[in-house]
Amino acid sequence: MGKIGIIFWREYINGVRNKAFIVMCFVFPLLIGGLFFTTQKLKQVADAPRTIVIVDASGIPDSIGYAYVLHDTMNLRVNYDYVYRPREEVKKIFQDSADVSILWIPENFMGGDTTGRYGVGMTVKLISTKNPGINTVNLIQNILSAELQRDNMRSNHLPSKAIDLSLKKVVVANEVNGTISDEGVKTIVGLLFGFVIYMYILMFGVRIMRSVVEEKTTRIVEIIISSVKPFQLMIGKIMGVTMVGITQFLIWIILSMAIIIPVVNSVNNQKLDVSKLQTHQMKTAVAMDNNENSISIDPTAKTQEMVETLMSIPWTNLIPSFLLYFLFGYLFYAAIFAAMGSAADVEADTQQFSVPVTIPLIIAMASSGVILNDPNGTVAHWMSMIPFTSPIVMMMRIPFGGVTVTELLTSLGILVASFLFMTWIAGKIYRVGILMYGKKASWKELGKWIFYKA
Amino acid sequence: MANLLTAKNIVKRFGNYAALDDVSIEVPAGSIFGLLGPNGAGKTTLIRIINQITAPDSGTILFEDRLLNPDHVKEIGYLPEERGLYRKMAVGEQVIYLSRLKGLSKKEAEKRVKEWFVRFGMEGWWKKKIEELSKGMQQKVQFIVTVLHEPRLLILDEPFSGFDPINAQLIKDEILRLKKNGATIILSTHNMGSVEELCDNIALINKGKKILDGNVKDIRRTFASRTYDIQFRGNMIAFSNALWTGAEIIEKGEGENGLHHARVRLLGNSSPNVILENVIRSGEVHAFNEVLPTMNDIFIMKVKEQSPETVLGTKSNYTE
Repeated sequence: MGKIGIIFWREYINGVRNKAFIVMCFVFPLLIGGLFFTTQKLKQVADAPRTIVIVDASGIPDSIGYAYVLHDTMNLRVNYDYVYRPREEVKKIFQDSADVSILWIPENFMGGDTTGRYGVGMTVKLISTKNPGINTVNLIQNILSAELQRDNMRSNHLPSKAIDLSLKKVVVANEVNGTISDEGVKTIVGLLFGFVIYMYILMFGVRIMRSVVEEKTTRIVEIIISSVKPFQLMIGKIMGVTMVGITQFLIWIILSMAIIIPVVNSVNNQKLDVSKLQTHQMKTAVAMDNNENSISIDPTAKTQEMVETLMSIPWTNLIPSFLLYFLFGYLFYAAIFAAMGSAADVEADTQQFSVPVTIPLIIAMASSGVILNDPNGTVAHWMSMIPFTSPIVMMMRIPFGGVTVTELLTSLGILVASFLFMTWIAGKIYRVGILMYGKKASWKELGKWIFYKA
Repeated sequence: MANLLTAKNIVKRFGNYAALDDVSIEVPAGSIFGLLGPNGAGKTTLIRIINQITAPDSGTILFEDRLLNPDHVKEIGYLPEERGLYRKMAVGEQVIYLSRLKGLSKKEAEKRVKEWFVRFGMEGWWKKKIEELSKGMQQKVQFIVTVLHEPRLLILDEPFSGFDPINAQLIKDEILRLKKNGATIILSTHNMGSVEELCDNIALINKGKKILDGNVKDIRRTFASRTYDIQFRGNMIAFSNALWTGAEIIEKGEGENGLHHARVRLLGNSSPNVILENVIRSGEVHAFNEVLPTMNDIFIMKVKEQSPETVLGTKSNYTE
C-alpha cells in the first residue's frame, strides 16, 4: 500500500469507527422510519373504521336515493337498517358507540319547508360522539353533492346524455416531446438529486476541514509531513473522508429501505383496496343509473401518468451524471475545505472560512425555483456551467430533458478541470498553512501562499 | 570522520524576511550535533529543510554524499518541539501508523513497538487513547515514534522538555545508546547543561546566520578567558599581595577548615606558572584549576555581541 493508501485507510477506519458515525448510521434511518411510521399511524387513527347509520326524515320519496349512493369503503360501513326510524330513537340506540355516526337527512332537505333551522335545505347532518374526521365529512359531502347535481338536472328534464356531458371534467395533459409529463414528479426528482449532492458536500466537506484543523492543532501534522508530502496527506485525507461519507450514505439507504419498504408496501396494499372498492362502487352506481353512457372516471389515470413521467425521465443520463457530478463536485469542494482548514489556527476559525465556501452551494439551492421553472433558460444554463453551482443545478435540469450532450460534456469538462486546478491551488495553500501556527490567516495571505516556493 | 549530513549555503526567505541566510553545517556520522540559537533564530526552519518539509530557496543538503531526496525520509527520525499525536487514536495503532508512513511494514512495526513498550515499561498502554495519558507518557510515545524505524539520523528538538528528571535521564541514556549503536543525532535545545554533557559538535545560529560552530571542547577552550580557581590555606591579604599585578581577583570566599578560595583572571601576559609560584609563597595551595566558560556563557556572549536586545528575550529559556 502506498503512503496515500495508508493515510486513506487510517482516515477511513477512524471515520467509520467514530462514535458519531455509528450513532448517525442508525439515527438517520430510524428518524426516517419513525417519520413514515408516525404518519402512517396517524392516518390509521384518523381513519378508524366508522359506521354511518342513515336516518331520513325528509319524507321525500327520492331523497333516500342520495343516501343510497353511499357504499362501504375501506373505513366506512354504511348501515341502512334504521332509515325510517326517528332520529332521537336511533341516537339512543347508538349513543354509547363512538365509532358510529348518524347521517340525518332533515325534513326540509329539498327546501320544501323553510321554517326549519337549516333554512332552505340541502343540509344533512352527521351526528357523532367522536369527531369522524374531515375525510369522512368530505367524502360524504362530495358523493351527495354529485348525486344532487345529477338529480337536479334530471328533474329539470335534461337529457341524461347532457347530464353526463356536463359533469365531465377537463384534464390538461402536458405533453412534452411526445410523452405525457408530470412536472411535479420531475421537480421532485431534480430537487432530490440536487439536494443529496448539496447535503453531502456540506456535511463531509466540513468534516475534511475539521480533520485538517485537528492535525494542525495537535501538531501531529509536522511529524506526518516529515514522512509524506503535504499533497499526499491532503489527497489521502480527502479520499478517506469521501469514502466514509459514501459508506454512511449507503448504510442510510440500505437501512432506510429496510425500514421504509415494509411500511410503504402496507400502504400500497391498502390503496389498492380502495381503488378496487371505488371502481366497484361506481359500477354499482352506474348500474343503478341504468344508463349506457355513464361517466367513467379511471382512478388509475393519475398513477399511469406518473409512471409515464418517471419513464420519460432520462435515467440512463441522470444516474451516470449524478455519480460524476456527485464525485467531482464533492472533490472540488473538498479541496477548498482542506485548504481553508489549513489556514485556520483553532477550530473556531473554520467558521470564517466555511461560510464563504458554502454560499455558492446555498445560492444553487435557493435558485431552484428559477431553474425548475425554466430548466433550459439562461440562468439554468450558466449556473450549470459554473463549477461552484453546476453539480446541483445540473441535477435539477436533467430530469426535464433538453440538456444537450455538448452542454453536459462541457459542464463536466469544466468541473473536472476546476477540480484539478482547485486541488493544485489547495495543495499550495495547504502546504504552507499547516505549518503556520499561532495566527489566523487573512484572505490576502492565502493568496500569497499560492506563490510561495515549497 | 565522514559527514552524515552536510548543509551548504542554505538560504530561506519568507517574503522579505530571511529565516536562514547562507547557513552551512557539517554533522559527522555517529556524533551528537547541537543546533543552538535563541528563539526565532531559524533552527526550526533548518530542521524542516533537513526533514524535507520545506525546501530552501538556495543551497544544498547532502546525506552522506548524495543530494537529499524523498528516499531519505526513512533514514531520518524527527521529534518536533511542538509534540503532537492524534488524541483519540489508540497508542499502539498510532505508533504503527506513523512508522508505516516512514516505510516500515506493518508486521515489522508491530514487532518493534512491542520491544520498545517493554523497554519503556509501557506494556499495558497498547489500547489506551493518547488523551488518557499524562504529558510525560505522551512524550515517551512520541520518542518511540521518532526512533522506531531505526533512522540513521535523529533530529530531536528539545527532547527533554516535559519530562521529569527520572524520565529525562531515561531519554538521555537512550540517546547515548542510540549513538553507541551508530546513529547520528542533531539535538536542538536551550538546555546548555545537556549540550555540554551530550554534544560533540555544535552550531550556534542567530538571526538566520551561523555565528559559531565547532567541537564543544575546542570552543570552550577558545573562549577560555585565562581564569583560574585557587584553593589555599593562609592569609587572604598575603594572597592578594602575592598576585601583585599579574592577576585580579574576580571573587573570593572562605570555605570550611580555614580553606580560602579565589577566582582570578590573569592580567597582561603573565603566565599561570608565575602566578602559581607567587601564591605558593603566600600560603599552602590546595588546588589550582583552569575555569573554562560554560556553553551558557558562550551562548549569551555570542548572541549579545551580535544583537544585545535579543538576549533578554531568550533568557527565560535557560530555565527549561
